[in-house]
Amino acid sequence: MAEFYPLQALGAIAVLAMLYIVFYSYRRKEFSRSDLLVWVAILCWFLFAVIFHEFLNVFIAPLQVMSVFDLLLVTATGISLVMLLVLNKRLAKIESKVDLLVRKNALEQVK
Amino acid sequence: MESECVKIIGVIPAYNEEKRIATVVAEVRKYCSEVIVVNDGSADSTADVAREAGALVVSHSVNMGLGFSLRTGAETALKRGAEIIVTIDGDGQHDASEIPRVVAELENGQFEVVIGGRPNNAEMPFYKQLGNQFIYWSERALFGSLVVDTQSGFRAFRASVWPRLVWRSRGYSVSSEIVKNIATHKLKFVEIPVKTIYHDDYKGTRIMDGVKIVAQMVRWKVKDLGGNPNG
Repeated sequence: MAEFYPLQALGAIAVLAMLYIVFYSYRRKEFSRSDLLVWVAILCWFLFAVIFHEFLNVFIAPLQVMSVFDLLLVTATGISLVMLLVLNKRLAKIESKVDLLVRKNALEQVK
Repeated sequence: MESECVKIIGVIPAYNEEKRIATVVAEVRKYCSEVIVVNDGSADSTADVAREAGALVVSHSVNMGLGFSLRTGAETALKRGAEIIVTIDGDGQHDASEIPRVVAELENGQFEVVIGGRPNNAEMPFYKQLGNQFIYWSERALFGSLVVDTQSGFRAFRASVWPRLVWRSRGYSVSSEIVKNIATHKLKFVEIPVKTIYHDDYKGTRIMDGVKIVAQMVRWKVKDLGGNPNG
């Protein structure tokens, strides 16, 4: 097995902490089952990649990245951008609903 | 004193203005058929005080912002048959006795929108003068607008121009959006100087609000270039 670096330990701890938050949110019914499955899949993948990074070496040549670290960084950035877009859309939808509701309530006060 | 046969409704957006709203409503009532106060989720007794002063109060359950409140007020005024809508700030910054002069410009049929411009004088805080100048030049460069006091909340417009003037802004950028819509839809407007009173506890736009307003103007311009002038 390859050497285990302190940065990997930090990464593993961060991922485990996020897994805990995900399970806790699921228990509090803040996350649905599909949210739980998606997040567990993403975080387990990252945990695997952090601990057994040498297995990712097979992707370096085909994807033409310099190192496994770069691969993880690009993947994390891509996932973050997708999440940002999804969150932005959800927020816009919620804002629109709040606007409609508040104005409807206000105008109903005037007969 | 109100113009004969023309229903003039005053719209006052208010957020935590229990100290001044009664005075503002009492003054505006002298010159308008009705006064609508939009209580924008105030935590104090703005709504009760305004109601006691004789205003029709419309309340938002949560604070939604100046632009949202103005639109609620304007739509309420239209629902009540307004022919001319006058908007005035709820913090007592504007002198309501200027309303007849402002409205007179609409009644002669030459103009569709009147803006009560606040002159740059020693009483206006310096950072406001600077900010107003910056926003004025930005608005002029982006939309060709000739309105000098783009941030004035004292304005009047004919109900007939509502479809072309209507705004989407929720916050302080509403004033800039109104000015933009005047320029975009080539509405006939005039800007006349009005008296302004600055209190020590001035609440209006701050520097960061000014930055956000200019950023929003750039976004509108990009949308205009993309062929969607209504945002």
